[in-house]
This record gives sequence, structure tokens and C-alpha cells, in this order.
Amino acid sequence: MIQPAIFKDRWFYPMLFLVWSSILLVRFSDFKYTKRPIPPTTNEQALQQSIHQGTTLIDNIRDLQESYHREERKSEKIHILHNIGITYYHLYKTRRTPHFLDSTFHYFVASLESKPSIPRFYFNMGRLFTEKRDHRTAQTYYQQSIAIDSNYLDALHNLGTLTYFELKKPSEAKIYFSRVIAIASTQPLTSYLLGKICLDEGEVDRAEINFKREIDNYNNHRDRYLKKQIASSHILDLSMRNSHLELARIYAQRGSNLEQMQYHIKMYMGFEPYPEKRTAITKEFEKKWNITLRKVEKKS
Amino acid sequence: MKKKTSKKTKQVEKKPVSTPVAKDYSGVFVKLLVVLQLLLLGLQFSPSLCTNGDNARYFILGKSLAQGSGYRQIDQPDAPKEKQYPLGLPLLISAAQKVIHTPLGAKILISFFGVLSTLFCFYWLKGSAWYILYPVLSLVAFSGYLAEFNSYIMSETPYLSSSLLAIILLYRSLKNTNNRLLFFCAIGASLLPVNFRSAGIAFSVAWLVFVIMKKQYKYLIAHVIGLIVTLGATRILSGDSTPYIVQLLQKNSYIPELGLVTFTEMIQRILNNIGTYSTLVIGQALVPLGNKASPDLIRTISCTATLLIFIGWLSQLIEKRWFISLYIFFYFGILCLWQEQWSSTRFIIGIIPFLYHYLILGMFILAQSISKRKITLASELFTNESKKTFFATKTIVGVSAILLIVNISYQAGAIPIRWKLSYDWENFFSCADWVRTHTGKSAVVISRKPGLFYLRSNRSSLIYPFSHDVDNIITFLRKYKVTHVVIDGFYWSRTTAKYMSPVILNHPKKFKVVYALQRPHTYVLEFVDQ
Repeated sequence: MIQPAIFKDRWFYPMLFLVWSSILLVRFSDFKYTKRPIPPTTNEQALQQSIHQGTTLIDNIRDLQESYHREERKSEKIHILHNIGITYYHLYKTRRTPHFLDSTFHYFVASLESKPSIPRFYFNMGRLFTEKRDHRTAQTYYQQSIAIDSNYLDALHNLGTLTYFELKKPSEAKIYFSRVIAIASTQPLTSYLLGKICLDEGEVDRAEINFKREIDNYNNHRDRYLKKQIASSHILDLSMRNSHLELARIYAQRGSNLEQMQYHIKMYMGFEPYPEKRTAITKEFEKKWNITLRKVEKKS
Repeated sequence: MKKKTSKKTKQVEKKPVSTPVAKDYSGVFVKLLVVLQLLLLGLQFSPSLCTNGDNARYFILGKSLAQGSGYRQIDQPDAPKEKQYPLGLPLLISAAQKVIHTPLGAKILISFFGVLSTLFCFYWLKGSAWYILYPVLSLVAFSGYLAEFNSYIMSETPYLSSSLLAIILLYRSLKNTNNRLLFFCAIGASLLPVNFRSAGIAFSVAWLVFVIMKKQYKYLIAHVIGLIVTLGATRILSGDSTPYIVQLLQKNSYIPELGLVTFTEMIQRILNNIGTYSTLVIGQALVPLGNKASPDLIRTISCTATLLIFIGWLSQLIEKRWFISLYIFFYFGILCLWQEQWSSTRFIIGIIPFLYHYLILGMFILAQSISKRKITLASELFTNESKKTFFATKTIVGVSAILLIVNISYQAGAIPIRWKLSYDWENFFSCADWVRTHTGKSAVVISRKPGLFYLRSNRSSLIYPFSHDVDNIITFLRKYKVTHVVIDGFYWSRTTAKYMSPVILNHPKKFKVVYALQRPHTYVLEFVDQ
């Protein structure tokens, strides 16, 4: 029997594959590898269960404990110990159960004793003692971390806030905040606090510079990520609106730049969420400088 | 008398006696098999990349070559030279990308190699008995794992088809040693396996040993020259790389600080690998029962299959069919030396046809030896076939039918699955889509699967260092100017939680949630370094 040419191997297989590929190409002609992103969750509760929170942290602790037993390298084991500690610390901050703070202490001490040369270990110990309201010990640990790494930004910042708010030593805090600004001028909150100390010490011009810097930083941050950011940052908001308020007070006191004063008070009123505070500020300006403020609605 | 005899002879010459020659239906059979194979493959075909990191890596390397960027990992911020993967497959993919930019073209190309594997298998086994040829061919055409890899952009399928082609051409060339074209084709094909997969070095070693045994030195010299040229070209494109021998001797390539294995550890590794392959991997690869099968059943099947394969391999060795026996021996040698975390069915894909061949042979030999002793009555009652082969052939047909049903069921089960992504992957890719639509071109993203993330987001991507030292990771983020971090909710891996969560918990102010998804929780965080 004569075999038709199409059934000969040299024709059959290429033709078959050609037909098969053509079918696929037609079938997936409108295929696009990329898609639109799924709408993000803005649900507060969902965000509460984020990486910083709840069961996720317990799972993380379990993972790290497992890693600790598997890990052969000593230096990595020490870091794992410390990481378990920091996870317990956040678990405490979420649930406020005291024994989590004890676990944190246990792991921090274990890592610190094994490797006393890591500034981060001292820094976190400082955070732990701040949480325990033992500010003197916290200060010692922060200072130890700075002794190892003099440019340790977070430790300098925390030491500054601790010294200012808890130990009530503004002149000492001023030194730490100035160092923070020298290293990273964009660090949020620092400029505001430094401005506040300067103002209290009568350095009005320096205070003005710092408040302005805080507002600039906020605007830069907002442009960079706040518009996209889902979770709001209360501290950033607070330091920004208070900087506006302080600047308004400075200009009101000077009595020369009332336009600027109006602008800053308007900004403050716009961002201040509490009506009673807004009323109090209105009264303050009327009483102190005889300035009647126009009613400004809170910005949504 | 003489005249009469001559007349009779003439009559015989004119009307030859029609002898009952068995018709060879193998050509039709293989055509039917290929049609069915393509049909099944088409039903399972997905135009997307699979979630294996290597498949993205190959596609990226192909893209790099296609756009003229050299052999580089263009998904990374500094686009370093690729030092791990052989050049063969990326070159093919780059050609496919010139025609179709999406993964579709490359995937069709890989499927083409899958079909070639069945065809080459047919040409390799063409002279074999029907009870070997048909079952092996059917199993190769419908193998569940082979089908899976026939639609992935991975090197396994091209490796398999090229090694089969090289074997066919070598045998043909050795029969016609004067045919120059066949010789050069055989040499060319023999260089493909090692250029598709590094494990192809087993093929090259088997080739060299075989041609030395056969005293065919021109094959030896030509192959060595070919190796020097092709691997040298890869070396030039890749720059300095960690030789595979170092990886072979390392305790764990993901943690190079652990150093090299000791002699005792190496022996332990070999024994462990033999255990893993014989009691689990071989069974899973040849008889894919899926996750629902009990571990005891898989272990029993795997041990039985390994035993039969060993019998088959030994029989071929005794019959002095050296080349494939040597190749499989060296291939398993490499698998046993390899780091234990890499022992998986994937490494078996490149030799599945040979394993099925040995399995059927082993089954035949075992069944034959049983039938010789016990079952003779049955053969006398039911068939005129040789007593020796009756039981054996029927056993092969029966077992092969069961294996075929298992493999086809595995493929049928995969049809709805391969189209769908699990929720963790959906969220991960949505993060990539978000990054593509909400960040600038200069964004650098850290994620668990950087290759896949890059292809979807079109932004530079990196994986975080597997280190518990938070400062180390922060230094890494600063070094590569990372702008975003993806915290995935992968069900299959907890490394992001292990390595990245402590970094975020240590520096909560540096990471801001910019995109969040639920079930499972998946986030894009912006890294705000002061």
C-alpha cells in the first residue's frame, strides 16, 4: 500500500507540531503576562494582624527557635537568640503580657553575653528597659551601644527622647538630637524636639530653623510615601502640626511676619484633630497677641 | 529429469511462497502516541511561567541574550554575569524571544523538545521486542513528570532529547564509521547535554569511557575538543565562577561558610542520597501517585522499582551494552554526591526513558525466571507463545497498563491545577503588579523569588541574604539601594519571616506599609533609610 506523503515521518511530525503550536498561539493570542494589582486592603483590623502583630509573631518565634536548633554556626545562633528576643518584645507590645518581657530579657541577655560587641544588642536592651520604665538602665545601654558605634542613629535618637521626656535633661538631649541631625537631617521628630529645646533656651532663630526643617521633612516624606502609605504615622503628624504651631507663635511674638503666622496657624488648625485644642489655641492667640484667627475647618 | 526440475524451479521463482511476515505497526503506533501526547500537553498548557525560580532564571538569561546585554542576570541592580547555568537553553530561549516576547514562545519550544524525546526514544528502541518497545514508548509519552517538565522553561526536556539524539547518532555512526556527516552530527549532539545541564558531564564521561573501550579515538578527540570550545565559550561569557566540583564538596552551597565536607560526611551523604532516591524519588518519578498516597505505599513502590531497574541495568551490563549502562552509572554517581537538599524527582527527569527501559527489562527478566520454575501450565493452556516469554510479556503488559493509568491520571489531575495560582502566589504577583504600576523604574525590590518578581514587575529584584544578622541585611539593603521589600505569605517557605521580620521589628521606622493584601497577609513595604 502506498503511504500518502503527509503520513511520512518527515512531513507528519513537523506538520503536526505546526498545527499544535498554531492552535496554542491562537488560543493565547490575547495573553498578557502582567495584570492589574488586586485592590489593597485598607481594613484596619487586617493591618493590625500585620507582621508586627499577634499570631504572626508567635509563628515567627517558632520558626526562629527551629532555626536555632538547626543552625550550626555559632555567630548566627547568637543573632537568632537576639531575634527571638526582639520578636517577644513586639509580642509584649501587642498583648501587654508581662511574661513576654521576661522572655525578651532572657534572650537579650543570652545574646549579649555570647557576643558583647554588637551595638544593636545594647540598643534593644535599652528599648526593653524603657518599656520597663527603668530609664537609668535604658540610658546606660543606649550609651553603651553609642560607645561601640558613635553614629548609631536610632540609639542617639532614643537616648535623646529618653533624656528629654523621662530624665528631664533638655540640655543633654539637645546634644544627642544635634548629633542625630548632623548624621541624618531628615530624621522625623528630632528637628521638632530640638526646636522645642532651643525655644525653651531662648534660641528663637535656631528653633525656627528646626521647626521649618521638621515641616520640610514631613512634606518630603509625604511626597515620597505618605500618599501611598496605608497605615498612618501619628508621630509624624504630631511633630509636623506642632512645628506649624510653634512657628506661628514665633511670628506672632515677633509681630512682623503676620502673613507667615496666618499660614502656619491655618496649617495647624487644618491638621489638628481635636476641636477643644483648636479652641484653646484661638483663645491663646487672642489673649496673648490680640490676634483673631479665622475659623479653619479640619482638613479631611 | 533435469528439465523437469528446472521448470519447477522457474515456477517457484514466479510464484514465491507467501511467508507470514509480522507487520510492523510501530510507526503508526508512535504517531498515535505523539498525537495523544500533544493533546494531553495542550490541555495542560499554561502560557504563564511556572512558579519555579529556575524557569524565571532561564527566561531572564534568554531575555538578556536576546536584547544584546550578554550573559547576565539583568534582573539584578548591577546585572552581574551569570555563573551557574550552562549557555545552551538560554540561547534557545533568546531565539524564541526574538519571535514572541512573552513566555509562550519559549514554552512551545520546550514542548517541541518533549515531543522529540518520544520520537528519539522510538528510534533508539526501534529494533527491540514489541513487549519492550511499546510499553517503554507509551510510558515515556505519557509520563506525568515528563509532561510537567515539557511545559516548563527548564533544561530537563532539552537535555533528555539531546542525550537521546546523541545516543542514536553515536550507534549509527559507529555502524558507518566512514560516514563523515554522521560522525560530525554525533559529535555535535554529544556536546549538547553538558551545555544544557551541568549534570550532563555524566554523559560526556560515559562517552569518553565508551569510545576508549571501543578504541574509537577520533570520537574521543573530537568530543574533548568540542568540550573545550563550548565550555570555554561559556566561561568567557560568565567570567570566573565557582566550579561545580567545589559545590559538590561544599556542605551547603546556600551557606558557604560551613566549608567543605569531610570524607566521613561525604560517605554519609552518598548513603543518604542512595536511601532517598531508592525509597522515594525513583518511585515518585516513575509512578506519580501524588500527595494523597501513603508514604508506605510510595516507599514499597520505589524500592521495588529500584530493584527492577537495577536488574535491568545489570542485564544490559552483562550483555555488554556499555554506553547507556555507563551513562546511568555516572549520572547516579553525580546524584549521590550532590548535596542532600537537592535530591528530588527533577534530577530524574533527564533519564526517565532509560529508567522505564530498565524497569521493563528487569520486570521481564524477573517474570521470566519465575515462569521457568512455576507457571508452565498456564502458558500451555492459553497460548502457543514460547513458555519462557508468555508470563513475562503478560506481566509487562499488565504492569505497564497500570503505570500508564497512574501517569495519565496524574496528568488529568494537573489540567485544572496548572492554570491556577494558589492564593499566596496570587498575592505575591499582585505585589509585583503594584510595584510596576506605582514605582519608578529605578526601584529595587527585595523578595523571596526575585526572578519571577522581576519578570512581572519589570523592576530590579534581589533576594535577601539568608542571615540572621540584622545589621548585615540592613547593610545589604543600603548597598543595593533597595527601595521596597515584599513580605510574602508563602505557604511553602518561611524564610521571609525568619530573615526579614527581625529586620523590620528591629527598625520599624524604616519600613512603611504601602500595599497590603489579606489571606494570606502579604505586604509591600517601602524602605525609608535616613
